[in-house]
Amino acid sequence: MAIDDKRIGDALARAMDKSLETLAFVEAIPLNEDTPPLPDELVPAPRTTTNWAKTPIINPFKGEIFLLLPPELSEMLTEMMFGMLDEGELDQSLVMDAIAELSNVLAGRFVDELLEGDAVFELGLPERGSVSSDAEVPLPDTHMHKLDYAVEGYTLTVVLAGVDF
Amino acid sequence: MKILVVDDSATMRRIVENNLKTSGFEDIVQATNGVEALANMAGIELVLTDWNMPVMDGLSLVKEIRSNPTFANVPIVMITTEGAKEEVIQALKEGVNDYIVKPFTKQVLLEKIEKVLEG
Repeated sequence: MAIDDKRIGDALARAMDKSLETLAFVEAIPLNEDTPPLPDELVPAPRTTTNWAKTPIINPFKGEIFLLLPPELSEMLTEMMFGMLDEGELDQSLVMDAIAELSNVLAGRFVDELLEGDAVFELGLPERGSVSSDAEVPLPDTHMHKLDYAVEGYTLTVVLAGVDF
Repeated sequence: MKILVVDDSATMRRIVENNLKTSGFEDIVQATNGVEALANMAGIELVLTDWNMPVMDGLSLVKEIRSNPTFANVPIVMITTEGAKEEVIQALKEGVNDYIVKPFTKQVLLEKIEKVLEG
């Protein structure tokens, strides 16, 4: 049951707002053909290393939601999410766990928005990794939507993959 | 008050713990799944648990707690991504006292805790 692009885009936008703003107190600006050109200082730098996290969506849709983001943004979001961190506590393990949790929360809110708030859904357990380029992220070989967002001067990419997306 | 925080995500455990500690709750125990939680129930006065976890999920944990006479009356709040009405009803039927959908604010967390402790 393929879902139309506009419904996906709208649901994801609302889910991104709820997830990022509540968890990390940041705003995600969609980067698409409808977005007015950003001021130079807000144009994100390209990624040279990619941290990724994914959460499987099991029911009622079949798919996966991926987050792709650079280490700098990963660390920033982790610090914002934690609020209080001891000196030297911010390590790679913590950062990767944080972005995995972010993908989990985003997946939940996204599916909830698609279902308009009142149907049962099931998610799988998140996975995460770090690679030297987007090309190495283990995206599945299925139809997918790729949406870029500007977050605090960096690019965060959301990939929705699966037969229903 | 001794509070047990159960979630497979270290991030979520820390977020909850930070929110609790900045609100004056100092005695926090963490567990990464339901089995670990059951092993750490001694003296616990409130359980905050995720639903979707490996090894033993939150709903199974709730059932185990409610079937144990020693812990049957410990208040339990479920904190999870699954927020549909049917799932909330299922959790409440199994003995959860209240339910928080992620993402949540510190205010919501504290309000729910206050509500279940008063109840």
